Amino acid sequence: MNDQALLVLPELNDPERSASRAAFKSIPFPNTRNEEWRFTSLRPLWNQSFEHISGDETKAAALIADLDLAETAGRRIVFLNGQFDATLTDLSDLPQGVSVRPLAASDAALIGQADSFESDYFASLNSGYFQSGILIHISKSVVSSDPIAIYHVVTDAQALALPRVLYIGEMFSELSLVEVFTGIEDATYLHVPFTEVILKDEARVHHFRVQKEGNAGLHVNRTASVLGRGADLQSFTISVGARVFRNDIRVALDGEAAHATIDGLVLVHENQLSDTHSILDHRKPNCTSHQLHKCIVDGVGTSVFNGKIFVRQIAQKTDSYQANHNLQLSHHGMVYTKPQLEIFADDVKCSHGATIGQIDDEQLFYLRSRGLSDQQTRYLLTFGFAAQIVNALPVGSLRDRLTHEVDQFTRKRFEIEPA
Amino acid sequence: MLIIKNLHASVEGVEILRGIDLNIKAGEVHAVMGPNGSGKSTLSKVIAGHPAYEVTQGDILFNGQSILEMEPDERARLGVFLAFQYPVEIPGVTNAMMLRQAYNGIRRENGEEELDPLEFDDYLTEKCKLVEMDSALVDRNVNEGFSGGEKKRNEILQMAVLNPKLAMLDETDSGLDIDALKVVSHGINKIRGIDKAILLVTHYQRILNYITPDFVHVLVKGRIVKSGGKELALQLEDEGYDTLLEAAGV
Repeated sequence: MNDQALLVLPELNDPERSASRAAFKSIPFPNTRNEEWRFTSLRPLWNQSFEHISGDETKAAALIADLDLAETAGRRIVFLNGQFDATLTDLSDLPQGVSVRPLAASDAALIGQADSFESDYFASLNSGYFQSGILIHISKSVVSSDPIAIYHVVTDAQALALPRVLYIGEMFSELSLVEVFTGIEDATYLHVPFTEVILKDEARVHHFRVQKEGNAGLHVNRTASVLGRGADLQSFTISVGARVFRNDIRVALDGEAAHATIDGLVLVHENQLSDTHSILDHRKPNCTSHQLHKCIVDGVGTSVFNGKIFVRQIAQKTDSYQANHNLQLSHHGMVYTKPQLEIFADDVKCSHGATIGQIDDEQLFYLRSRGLSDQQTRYLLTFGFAAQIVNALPVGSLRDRLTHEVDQFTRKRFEIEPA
Repeated sequence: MLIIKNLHASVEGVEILRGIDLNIKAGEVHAVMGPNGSGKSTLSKVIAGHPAYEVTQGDILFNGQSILEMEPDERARLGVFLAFQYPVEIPGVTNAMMLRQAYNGIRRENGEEELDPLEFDDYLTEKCKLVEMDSALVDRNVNEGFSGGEKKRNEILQMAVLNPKLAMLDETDSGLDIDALKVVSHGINKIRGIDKAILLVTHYQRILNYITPDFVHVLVKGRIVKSGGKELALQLEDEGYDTLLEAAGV
């Protein structure tokens, strides 16, 4: 067999995670004959060997500095090559009522609670073998506007990084969590993070995820959330880096009147592949969900979107919105989009739509008639397509940073000089 | 300033303009009127360089130079402006951002120094006052969520900012209530000047109560069938287009 990655895994014998390891061993390495991986070839992983490697803190610090978010000073957690890094972590300014601590063997019962979904190769890899994990806990009624950042950094070629995060928001709590995934350029590594978010009744979290892996990095993640009654998940993911990015989002709306927003922005160029597979599971009545997922595809890049929405029979009065808009800038880019609704209740409102298109001719003429050149106009329209999502982000430094990211990406596409 | 000679233009193989001759000098205001489907809007779009229209015969000279082969943005930088009948919404791009880039492009073309964002802000605020537009609108995305009247006013703001030599207004009056019409007309009159020419495309005479034209042309089935002074517009308002259509034998 050579159509799979060669993972060098430690011999573990703790009983708590043995079931996950057994599951992992029973699941074959995904290939494109598997419906869930039909358009996402993992060929760049084939015959590559990956193992746990201790990271380089100097390189990591530089990568973090490049994505510095001023509002998160004193509230930064760092995973280096999948391992919690106490030196780079700085929790000197945690809000009262917020605690952060490593996950211990005794936490086994907490792990996996949010992930009531079918496991796959990578999810069970993380669950069975994660190197270290942390628990972020927000006490009841604690509301803080100071965001916490988690930097997941990889500094070595052939590293296998398996970090684990568990977020528990007690009743009426509210917090912003920024997860940044980054790594060195020109190095093939495998980053498989797994984040669980548990929101108790009326809890709210803003969960921002920035994927800016190195250009040869391979990233497969799972984020699983479970929402109690009236809970509110505001999730936003931007994908700009990595050779292959697979983003598995799972949300269970498990209490009445819960709400989930899972918006996304994907920028791919050259031979990048970015794949978002999401499941929004409406399990209780009166819940609402919103998913606006936008992709810009250039070069021979590939964008894959599969958005499943389940509305169970009991989940009456569900109101769900899903849209996937793809802007193609090149002739050779590929876009695969598959909205997928499975509705078993009979009194619901679900709208969904997907578009794949080029830049609009009337918009093009309108701006050109104002004296903007063809290139400038295409740049502005492409920027605007992406900015629409980024502009809505509430954390200032993150919004500025991502606006800059989008601006750089679009300028490069149209050979416009940096501002 | 603008000389149109025997202009024929078609879209998707259908001929819309069938031989237009028009001569507009600096300082003049020309109104082009005509029934629906006569080619009024097409004329302004062809002059602005809309790629959907193919010019099959004739020529358009702007300050002595043929602009037929020029891209729309080249024409705009020379000083040709079109206020759209249906202004286009541009999500994610603010008015201020678009206008600064456009205005600086024109300045570069004229060998002038570009304005930095702060200087441009001042310039833009001044122009907002001129067209009586709430300056909060400039930080909103271009035309996105604007009311019909705001969109039209935004076209006039853009015109004021870009300061064109030839301003074409394609049914800028349609869909406006009387107050908005007064504001828009007022803005156009402020921009009027001896070095500028204005081409007003309109279906109704109403806007001509506020902007007095030097010439009125009646366009029917892609040809100018009658030209005259401002009294021609009043005659049309009274008699409708039918008498003219009969007289023109169409």
